[in-house]
Amino acid sequence: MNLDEMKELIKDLVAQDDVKYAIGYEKGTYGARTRPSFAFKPEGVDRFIFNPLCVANLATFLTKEEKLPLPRGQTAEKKKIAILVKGCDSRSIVKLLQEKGIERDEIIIFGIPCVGVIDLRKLKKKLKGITQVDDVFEEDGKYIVKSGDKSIEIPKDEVIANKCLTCECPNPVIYDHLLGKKVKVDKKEDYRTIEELENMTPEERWAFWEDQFTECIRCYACQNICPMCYCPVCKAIDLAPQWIRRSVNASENTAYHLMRALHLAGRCIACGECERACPKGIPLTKLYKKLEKEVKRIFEYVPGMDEEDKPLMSFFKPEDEKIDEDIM
Amino acid sequence: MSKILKKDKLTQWAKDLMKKYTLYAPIVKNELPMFKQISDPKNITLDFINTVTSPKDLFFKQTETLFTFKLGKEKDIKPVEPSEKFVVLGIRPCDAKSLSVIDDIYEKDYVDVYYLKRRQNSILIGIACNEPDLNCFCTSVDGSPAGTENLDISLTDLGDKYFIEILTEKGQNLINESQSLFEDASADDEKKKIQLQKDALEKFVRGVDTEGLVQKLDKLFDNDIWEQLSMRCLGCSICTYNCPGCYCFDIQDEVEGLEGCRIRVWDTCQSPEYTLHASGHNPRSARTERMRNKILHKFLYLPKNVNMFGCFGCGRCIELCPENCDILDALHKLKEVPVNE
Repeated sequence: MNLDEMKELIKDLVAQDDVKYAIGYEKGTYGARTRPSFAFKPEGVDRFIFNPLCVANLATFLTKEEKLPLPRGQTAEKKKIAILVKGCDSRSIVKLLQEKGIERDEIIIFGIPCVGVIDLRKLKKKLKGITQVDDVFEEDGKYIVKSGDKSIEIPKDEVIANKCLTCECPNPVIYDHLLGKKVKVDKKEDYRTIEELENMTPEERWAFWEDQFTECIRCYACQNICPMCYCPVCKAIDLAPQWIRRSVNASENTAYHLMRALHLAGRCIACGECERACPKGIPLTKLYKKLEKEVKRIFEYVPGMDEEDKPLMSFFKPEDEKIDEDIM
Repeated sequence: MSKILKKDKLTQWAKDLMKKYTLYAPIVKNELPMFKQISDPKNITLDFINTVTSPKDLFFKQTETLFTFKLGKEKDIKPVEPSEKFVVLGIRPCDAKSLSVIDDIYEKDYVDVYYLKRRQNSILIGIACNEPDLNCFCTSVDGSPAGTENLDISLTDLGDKYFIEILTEKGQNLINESQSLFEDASADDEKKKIQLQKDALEKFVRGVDTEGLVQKLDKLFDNDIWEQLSMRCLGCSICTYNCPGCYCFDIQDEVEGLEGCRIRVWDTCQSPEYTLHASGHNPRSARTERMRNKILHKFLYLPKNVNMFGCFGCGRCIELCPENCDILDALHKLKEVPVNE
């Protein structure tokens, strides 16, 4: 299926009574920006695009919808949502299904095999003086940026998002319809982004993170954008009981980030949205990559790959006994 | 009399300033420009578009200790008052102008010593924008890339030197303290500065015509459009915490053992807790209502109440929003909504 065929199919779906809306990508409001797009009507689907600038993980919006309390006796109407997901994003859908955060029959998944997306901050530096971007596509290891009658070539590895450098899952792991063909996967486990941190002494590593967490302004963009952070009230923010103080300083910020990290052990699916959202450029994916590595090493568990898997923290295998040695 | 500072003398000037004052200026960290207390003047960069977060934190601290106390019989309440004398070097005109709206809040009704002390104890050296960014729109909200509001000294980058405009007595004294570093500006320099400022005005790409906006917004409170505008809002506080004109706070007591302190921390209207009543009822329970509040506060309530916008066109909320909730886009759409008279 190509993009136009996919859009036609989504239009048909959105026209159905049992489909509420479709979530895709549209051109953003300036420069190279793209944005999530919500199509309630078939004509809304005309805005949908897909290119290497479509970095957002749309699965976040599946649990973002605000459900107001209903009068007694009334039940919420069940309507489907159609959604576009890349490889990494699809893993968050699997995770949400496993945790019963969403139900399978409530979503129609359009999977997109992905060969990497662009980091807008990196791209901005390359596009100085360019205010309008009409299209971006990939060609022979380069991104071609079209702006008016200008065409700018940028080597892929100079602007690709960090998370994509070590991606092991470019193909959607769950989908109803697939855009194009699956891409060949030749990547193996790759932890080069955390090598430098792993080689530090514990003191050096602590100093590194303390320096980074001092920057945090606790805007909670990292958790609001996270597809796996969908508790109605975050325990890190709650005041009754209060686990973390409101003071914004190295100590409380560290407590917040470590608490969040532990809550994402075996759940983080490496979509990198937290790092992308962070206004202060805190390299959160480094923290989560390490978590991913440890979970794999200790429990032989990779989150969000198979809908039939149980959530990591909800079952016990006799072999898990060895974790004692590992952790203690 | 305007002055000139050669670029290679900037470090020396910073050193001079640091002798008497704490110096805050932009440095690059995580590849992003941000205001920091300067320990090594070589780290200062004035070659930046704008700092990623606003410098309001230098005056209106994200975490402010109001007083410390001891529990039990002793009680012993000790007020904490800021006493640091500091210089902010490299603040942009939009960020300096934004202090006016915070001044207004903290001077009126209840005089806030913490914020006002910092304002009094600080000297602001601004730098005009020769190259506004794509999302800059200060010219739409009564600002200017060469604006001087709230500044003591204004710099303009002339290439190999800075043109220095002295705006207040505080600024004059500061220049006097390092007199030997400066030369008098020539008529040519002045001409060049004026030309650069004119050119900068031509470089704005985005903006909004605010003519009639207040009257229009006044009729849109109950409109359905807010839902459409907030669909992609995540409900985080990137936009408000990084906004130079947002001034809301929360008060907390933080106690350890028998000792504690009362702190004031930034708060945000984008959080549901902000309006949560003790009864459990929340008049702004949905993101739609919270986003509406943010926009109306800046473009309706403040213009009506204090005759200035709560937005200064720095573009940070647009630049930083991970899902591209764009306040200019929102204003354009709001302006187009048909209203029955």
